Amino acid sequence: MTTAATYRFFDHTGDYGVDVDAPDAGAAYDAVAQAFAALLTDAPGCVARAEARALEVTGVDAAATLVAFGNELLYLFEAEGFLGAGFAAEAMAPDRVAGSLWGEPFDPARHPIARPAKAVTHHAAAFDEDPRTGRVRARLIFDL
Amino acid sequence: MSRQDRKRRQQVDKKNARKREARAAGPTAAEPPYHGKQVPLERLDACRWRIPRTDGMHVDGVVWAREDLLPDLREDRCLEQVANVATLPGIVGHSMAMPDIHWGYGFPIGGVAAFDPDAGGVVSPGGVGYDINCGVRLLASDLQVGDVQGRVRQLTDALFEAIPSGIGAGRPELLLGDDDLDALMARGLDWAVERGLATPADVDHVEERGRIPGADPSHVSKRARSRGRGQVGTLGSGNHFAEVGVVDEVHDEAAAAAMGLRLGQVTLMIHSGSRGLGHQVCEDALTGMLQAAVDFGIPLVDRQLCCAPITSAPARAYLAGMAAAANFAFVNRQAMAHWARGAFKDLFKAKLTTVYDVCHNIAKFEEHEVEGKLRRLLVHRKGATRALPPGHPLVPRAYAQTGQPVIIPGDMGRYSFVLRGAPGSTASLGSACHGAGRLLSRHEAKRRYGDQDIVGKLADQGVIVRGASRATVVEEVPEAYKDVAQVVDVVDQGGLATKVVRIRPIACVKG
Repeated sequence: MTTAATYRFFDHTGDYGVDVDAPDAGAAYDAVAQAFAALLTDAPGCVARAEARALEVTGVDAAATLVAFGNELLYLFEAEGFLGAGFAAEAMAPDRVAGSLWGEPFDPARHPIARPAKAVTHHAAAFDEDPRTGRVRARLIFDL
Repeated sequence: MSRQDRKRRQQVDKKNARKREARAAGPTAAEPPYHGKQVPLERLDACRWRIPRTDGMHVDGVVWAREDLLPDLREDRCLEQVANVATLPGIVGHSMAMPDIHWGYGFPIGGVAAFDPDAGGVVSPGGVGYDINCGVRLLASDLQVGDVQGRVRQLTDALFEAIPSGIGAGRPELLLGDDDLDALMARGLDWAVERGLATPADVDHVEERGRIPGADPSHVSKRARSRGRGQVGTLGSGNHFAEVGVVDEVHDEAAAAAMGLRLGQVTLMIHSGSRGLGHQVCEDALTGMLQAAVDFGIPLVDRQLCCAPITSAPARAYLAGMAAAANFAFVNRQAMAHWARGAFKDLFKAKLTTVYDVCHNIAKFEEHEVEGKLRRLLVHRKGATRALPPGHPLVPRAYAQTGQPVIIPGDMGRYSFVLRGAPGSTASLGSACHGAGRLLSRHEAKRRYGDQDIVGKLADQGVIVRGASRATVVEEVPEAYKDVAQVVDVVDQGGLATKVVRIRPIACVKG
């Protein structure tokens, strides 16, 4: 039996880290998007999965691709005002991920921002997929 | 095709095939020198500790700290990071850490490292950080504390209105088109003078005169521009602030007078950087540098340390983009100082004069004497302030006899310090600390203080705080930081810089 994807924030002295445990790679990316919304707003439920944006990122390997994904979420938020809160993967490879980012346009009245992030770092970034079960453990650190 | 040409072609094909294979495999991961072990610290003197060179390290690590600060340093992984930086190619002298060191990403916060371009030295965007030219501007007012008594809340509100903070906040008059943004990034504070945001006197009192040489806006991506375009003159969040303070201790009368500072005087300190533009310049460069590390065969103990030889094309492109972002940051702090001047003038008919403006996230070419030889080095300061002694050619004329002002903010409840660069800073390549250094993680601060009325508590202590986000105020609670006095004492006793004045906060605007 597979369990649902979970994310958990962990201590990093100046910043915030997130650990993800997911039954597969697609669910891991979805959990990272949820964690992103939770980190920014402190109230994950406040961002509705109302609209989708096509999203594609690449990296030299799975960890770098995950970092690129996190930075894409930040870019869409800061430059285009779109707050992502979920991801439906359509194509997954270690060096490329494509799919639909679900969320909604940022509305300060409904999405109080607790802590904007500057970037997602490569430090300690990990995306480890169990070759037998497909289960994924991922780690990201946000620079605040 | 001759046999010789065929042979040459085969060699090129083989080399390209090896390159392709390496690219496919990604950056080579190397074992961090002290991974999983306690990092040894050998006492050098009362204020310095050596991390001995071991496998993979090219030089020793040196940490400035007093013994009583060591337990906090052992709480996180910052000492490992000092050792990690020592593995970078072409590092010169030591991998150094200032006394406010704490766990960063790649470099520790408080890290200083210099690289020789003529000895295979590298530039690492992680050694500058995402917030390129994050720094501090100190302004002195012509007000004494008595002049603002009873009106501090009004002043705080005026500053909160004048200085945009929070998501999407900006001043419409500085929503720049591409040509203006290019000019700003290329010319830094000279652009701000032309736009009426700065005076020539401001320029005379800013590190590098507010314009890092070599800036080339063509190396700043469209994405970086779209993030930064509307953010000129905005505070940002996290540990950024605009703080009104009062000089409450003078340690060096002559130096204080040279800086235009006196007991009881009201000051303004602005801490911010290059906002989304700089963050994106760093992110863009890291993607390229991961590839460069593969191409140049540089093994990485931490991916955030990805780098390229200073003389290589990716390094030159990064340095040109970094300088452009740094110039953006100078203008950003200047524009906030300009809005703040308006608030002080409207409320009190008062003037604000720039004392100095320092960068603490930057990589710059500087000449330093290492092992008896004067060398041109690329000095990375990640959470460290330049602290040049009197007489140094890079110190502005106004401070030639004094030494460069070193502005060290503390937390929003206690105090900050102004120091002056001292001759002993040759040991740290002209560097000192940049702040108090965090003691608690943001997560831990939220756990301990999340349900407390921090703003009310600080008001009771005489500090009026307005923040765009309650969460940021909680995570920046004074108890989350070390006592900056302890950190500054190490810098003072270690001979890097000497204390000039202490400043007590009375109002703070947070992003």
